[in-house]
Amino acid sequence: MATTKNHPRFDWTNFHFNGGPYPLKLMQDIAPDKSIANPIDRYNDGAQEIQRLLQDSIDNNQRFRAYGSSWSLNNIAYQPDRMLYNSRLNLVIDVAAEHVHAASTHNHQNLIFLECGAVVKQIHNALRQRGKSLKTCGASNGQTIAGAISTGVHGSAIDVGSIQDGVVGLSLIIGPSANDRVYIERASVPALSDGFAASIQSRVIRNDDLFNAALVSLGGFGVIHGVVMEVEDIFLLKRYVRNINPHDALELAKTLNFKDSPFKIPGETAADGSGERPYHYKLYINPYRPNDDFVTEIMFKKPYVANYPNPIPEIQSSIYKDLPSFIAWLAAKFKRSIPLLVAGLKSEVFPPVDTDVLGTLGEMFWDTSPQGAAFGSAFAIDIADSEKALAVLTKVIRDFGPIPGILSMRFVSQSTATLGFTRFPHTCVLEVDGVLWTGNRNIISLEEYLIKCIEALKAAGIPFAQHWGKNAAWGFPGLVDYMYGNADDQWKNMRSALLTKQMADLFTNDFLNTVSLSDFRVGAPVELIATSEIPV
Amino acid sequence: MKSIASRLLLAGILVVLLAACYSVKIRCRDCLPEKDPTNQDQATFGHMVVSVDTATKLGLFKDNAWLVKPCGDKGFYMVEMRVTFGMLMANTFRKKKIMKVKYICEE
Repeated sequence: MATTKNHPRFDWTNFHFNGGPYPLKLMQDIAPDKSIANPIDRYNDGAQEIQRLLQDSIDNNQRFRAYGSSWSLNNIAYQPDRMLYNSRLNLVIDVAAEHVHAASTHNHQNLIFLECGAVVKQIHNALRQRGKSLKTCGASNGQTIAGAISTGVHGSAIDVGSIQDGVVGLSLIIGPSANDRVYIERASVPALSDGFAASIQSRVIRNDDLFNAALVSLGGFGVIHGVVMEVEDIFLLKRYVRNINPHDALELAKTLNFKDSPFKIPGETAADGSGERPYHYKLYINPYRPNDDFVTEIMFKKPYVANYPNPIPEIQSSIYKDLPSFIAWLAAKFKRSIPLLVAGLKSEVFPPVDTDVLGTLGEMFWDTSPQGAAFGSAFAIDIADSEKALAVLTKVIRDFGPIPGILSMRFVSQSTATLGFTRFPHTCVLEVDGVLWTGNRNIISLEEYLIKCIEALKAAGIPFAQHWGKNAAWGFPGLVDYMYGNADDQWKNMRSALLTKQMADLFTNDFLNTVSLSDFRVGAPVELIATSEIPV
Repeated sequence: MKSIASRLLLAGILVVLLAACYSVKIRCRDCLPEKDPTNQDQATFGHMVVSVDTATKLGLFKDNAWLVKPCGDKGFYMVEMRVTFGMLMANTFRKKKIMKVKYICEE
């Protein structure tokens, strides 16, 4: 039997020390029964324990939220009653050929069933052993798969979506009863058979709208116990870091037209001399020196070969752990020092230029070490608006700042998730990352700065959405409506149709309340979540 | 003048102390750390860390010390050896060698 260790009165914080510590009545640490050899049996045993904990929460009239690596830079994972640490539930299970749905176009070797707590690094390793790879990942590898998909973690793979867009099946636990284990997938793209769902003791719902709503669930659709992911054959990435003039960089940002760009990487061109389309394109920008060249990190997909030099430097160093706090203190005290600090720390925050390496996706986005309290904000915008949005946010930083952070731009294809924040056909994610500071009479606070950003983008008429796992002025009036139009209603309807009112409340937290996504639609028609016909 | 000189002396001492204080970590490239959600230390967040703060006598003809620790049925994810100015001084002039080691086992 899986077991759970209770830690009462726990002060919880997140990996980036962003906010908190948050007082918690009970932290529950669930561990699988490793004596159960059959992975599906062990998975079901874990599900049974989660359901026991849900019943116990109901009996004690307390809310419940599962969490993993605490990676998000805000309080989305937190609620004050009970939090279930699920990272030890991390099975990686191959999908048998007989478990692929008869109408599916998937090759079973390109599907993998992951338990909620599997972290991205573990998944990279497991897939590599199978000659496979994730299609994309975030810039770091410590998130659990459940946390990553439910907040919309993305990379900068320009023609690939975010991590959740590789998911083809979701195994949810929505209550303590036998009927409360559900396996959801799209009716339009079925993946696994009813036999698979039966093996994990779940009822099947094949419904595109429900699946898309539950993909980025923000923890509100119950416990994500497992996900089925579509993966691909392992590949290598050739990474280049170069200076790029702002004009060329922003023209690429607006169009992603690498073929006709004057910016080319020698050796990454077609026979006619035009530029090849990269897998990954990212820009680093110092907001205090906007006329300087930007730094670009650009990666091209290559076939996998066995022998290539180890791309991860053997010797690395890290800054004094108290240095970020000192920088934050200095910034708050002497705000005019910030541009100098950013320039001085360029080698720490920008990748070294003119370095070329070759490696797998997992090697390119290897371990990151925590380096003190950090903030991060990310605005998704249509690439057509990227130059304009960069100018708007740079102006905010210069007019109301300075703030101790740098800008970057990443690019990703549209998510199919109802509340996927990468919601534009080609999305530019405009980010500001830096050390967490405290506002005072000298310097704007982070909260005020985040409000100014929203106001400025709205005033400029630029549609945007914000990363669910990062800092934002989440309480800004009408923010979610502005970002998502009617999609948030669709999400709420689906949630209300799937969950009972009692369970919807149990899975609610302050974050969902703040963004006005917690309200339950009494009487949401159950037809909304009925299994749809699979198209022939 | 006296005050400036003493401040400069203090700053010099601080620089020497800081320069002598460092740690070396050996980390397994493809391993995963053993988990501990109660660990919210900045450098090892969420990992099960074991700290060893001990001393051992080394005879004149011995130049290394072994620290033998269990690590489940796998291996070490990370081993950190810390050196401070005090340790440098003590270990240079005493037979008893101070060891400050932290390690994390593989999951």
